[in-house]
Amino acid sequence: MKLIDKLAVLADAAKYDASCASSGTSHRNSLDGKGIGSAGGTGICHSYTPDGRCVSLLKILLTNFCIYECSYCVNRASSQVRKARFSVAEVVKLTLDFYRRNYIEGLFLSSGIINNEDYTMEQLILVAKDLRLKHGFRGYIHLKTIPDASPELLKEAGRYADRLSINIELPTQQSLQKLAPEKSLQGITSTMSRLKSGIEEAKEQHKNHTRISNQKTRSRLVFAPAGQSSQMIIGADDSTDGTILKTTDRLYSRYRMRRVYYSAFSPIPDASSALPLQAPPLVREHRLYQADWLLRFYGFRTDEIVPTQGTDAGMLDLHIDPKLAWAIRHRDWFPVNINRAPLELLLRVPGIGARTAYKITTVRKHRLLRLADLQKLRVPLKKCRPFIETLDHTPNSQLLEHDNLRAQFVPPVQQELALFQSTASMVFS
Amino acid sequence: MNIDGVRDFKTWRQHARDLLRQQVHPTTINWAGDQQTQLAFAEPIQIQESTSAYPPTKTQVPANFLKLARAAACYRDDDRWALLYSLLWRLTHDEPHLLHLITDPEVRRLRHMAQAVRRDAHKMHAFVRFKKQQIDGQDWYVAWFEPNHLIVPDTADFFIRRFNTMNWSILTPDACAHWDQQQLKLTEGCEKPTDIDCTGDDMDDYWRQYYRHIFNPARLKTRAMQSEMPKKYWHNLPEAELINELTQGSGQLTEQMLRNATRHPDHLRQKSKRLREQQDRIRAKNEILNHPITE
Repeated sequence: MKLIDKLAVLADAAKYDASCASSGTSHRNSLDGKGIGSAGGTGICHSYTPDGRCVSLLKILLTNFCIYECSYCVNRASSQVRKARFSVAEVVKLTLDFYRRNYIEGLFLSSGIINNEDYTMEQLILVAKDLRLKHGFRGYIHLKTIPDASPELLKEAGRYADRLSINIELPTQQSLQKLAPEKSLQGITSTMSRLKSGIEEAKEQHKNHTRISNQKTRSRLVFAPAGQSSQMIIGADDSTDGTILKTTDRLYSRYRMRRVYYSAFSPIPDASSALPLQAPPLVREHRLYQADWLLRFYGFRTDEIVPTQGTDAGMLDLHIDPKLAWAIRHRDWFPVNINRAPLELLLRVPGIGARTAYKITTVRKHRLLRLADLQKLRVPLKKCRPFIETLDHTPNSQLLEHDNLRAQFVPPVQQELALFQSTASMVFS
Repeated sequence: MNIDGVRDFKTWRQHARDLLRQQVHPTTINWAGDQQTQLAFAEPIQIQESTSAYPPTKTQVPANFLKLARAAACYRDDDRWALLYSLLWRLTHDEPHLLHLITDPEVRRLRHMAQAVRRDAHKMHAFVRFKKQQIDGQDWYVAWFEPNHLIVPDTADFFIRRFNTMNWSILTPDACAHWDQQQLKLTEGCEKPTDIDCTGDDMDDYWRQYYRHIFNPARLKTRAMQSEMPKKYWHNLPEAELINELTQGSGQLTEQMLRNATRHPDHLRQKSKRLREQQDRIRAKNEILNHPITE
């Protein structure tokens, strides 16, 4: 098969991995006149495809042959899609050629499992090693680790990769057993633990090194400076949003993930009959991301974000964002006084983002705020007006007590459909 | 008072220091010299050392002001020098906390300008596309780009750090940056070259192939794409020519995927003994992991 045809097959195979991050790694450049590339700081999205996703990395599989039978996966053993395999040299060449033309920030390499786990992991490492050592590549490398790969191989992968990831795939052990019988929660989480300790060891050494020599010198031990991440498939099993977010929370607190990605399972070519027929609406994925943000940056707990009782227990409201939904369930917290409330409370106000909340605390040291000031900070007044007090505004107390407060925020159905075009609903309606 | 010839941050800063020393009020200065929105290529304009009788005072401004001002100086707007001086005046005359007043009109304008310039630079880092050419027997990577603001000199640094070991030129209507692995040369802007000869460089074909296949037709979100990659950039992006085709074809492709018969997950296991054995070995191992034998 020609290289350009392999590229088609192995990009097709890689597109269901949502991550394309290239940010937050160590600062590097090629000013020393050796090698090529730079990294560090914010990532760069070099392009966007019509699915709205950014293209930052060359995201491909080394091969889409695989002995695993994960029902949700386009590359599972029984899938009849075209199969191909890159050689190590081909991936290295493509990465460098793309990089030199400024198409990409680097490489995101994953693979189907061939022969066995360690063999596959070795192949991935060979690519990264070649790029780093032979070509002095200083761009970004994200390697997908293979479940159950040996600790020695993980260590080596961490030396060359900026980020390592292993997908949790499904929120519960039961779902994993049913839909991905070759994977086990235990195997996945033990890899996560190893990555975590590798990352922390390198960080610790770097810190100590800096402290002792009192100047910034390069620390010897390098291990995935951009941390680890994971991905969960939404809608392939019947787990509730509550279950999903609890798993997410565990991934953040126990394994110090930089990011957990959600991927609403979408129609794939040659699907397995073990999957539900209808894909979940894309808006569910969107709400989970919003909830994820509340967990990480807004001081919410999982049991606050998802309603624990009532008809919708365990599920996020698809029509309004999770913070607004929380506020409607907890009206006794409001109104919040914009000029006096502590930052933690400002963060709870619907429509006020983390940055805006911080900005408010800076401005109000010098000047008390009015509604017009909030407008200048681009706060959506319509959303937050019922919940706040400013110098010139006190919310109508009846409004906060109104039975149907939620109805004020729910957009008409048509608008909703246009906002989140889910192909499944387009096709079936 | 008329101030002419300010074209970059450095010359503005020299003038501003001088004016501040002489306590010249912002409203008495006319910064509108000619051709303000062009970049300086000739020798930097020599500023005469201050001959004023006032003793030089050390003016202190927040570091953040310099950062914002440096960015805003690249904004394509004749009024930027006056705005910067007015802010500098206020910062040094009883309003040291001015930058915290995000709702102040001048501060908002400054932040808006700096933000727009940063975004423009970020988009330039992202959307410059090099084509490999042969110039005097050497590989030379050439790009044409049309930035909104006057950012070529400031963004060149990014490309040097990244592509230090390549020869490259970035051509724009305002200025062109050239790097020969030794030094940076800035030259005047040019028209879009019609003759970038890239015969022999077929990487754009590979790039388009990748773009076509990394796209997921089942999740069409063209508005999300356009908010991050507005149409004005499309004509210089080799992959953009595929956008319409991919968008229009997506519905049919997805429908086809949904119509296709699904397959039972075990159908290949039943046929292939080898696969069955490989999978059973792994499944048996998992069985032990999932239900550890307790003694």
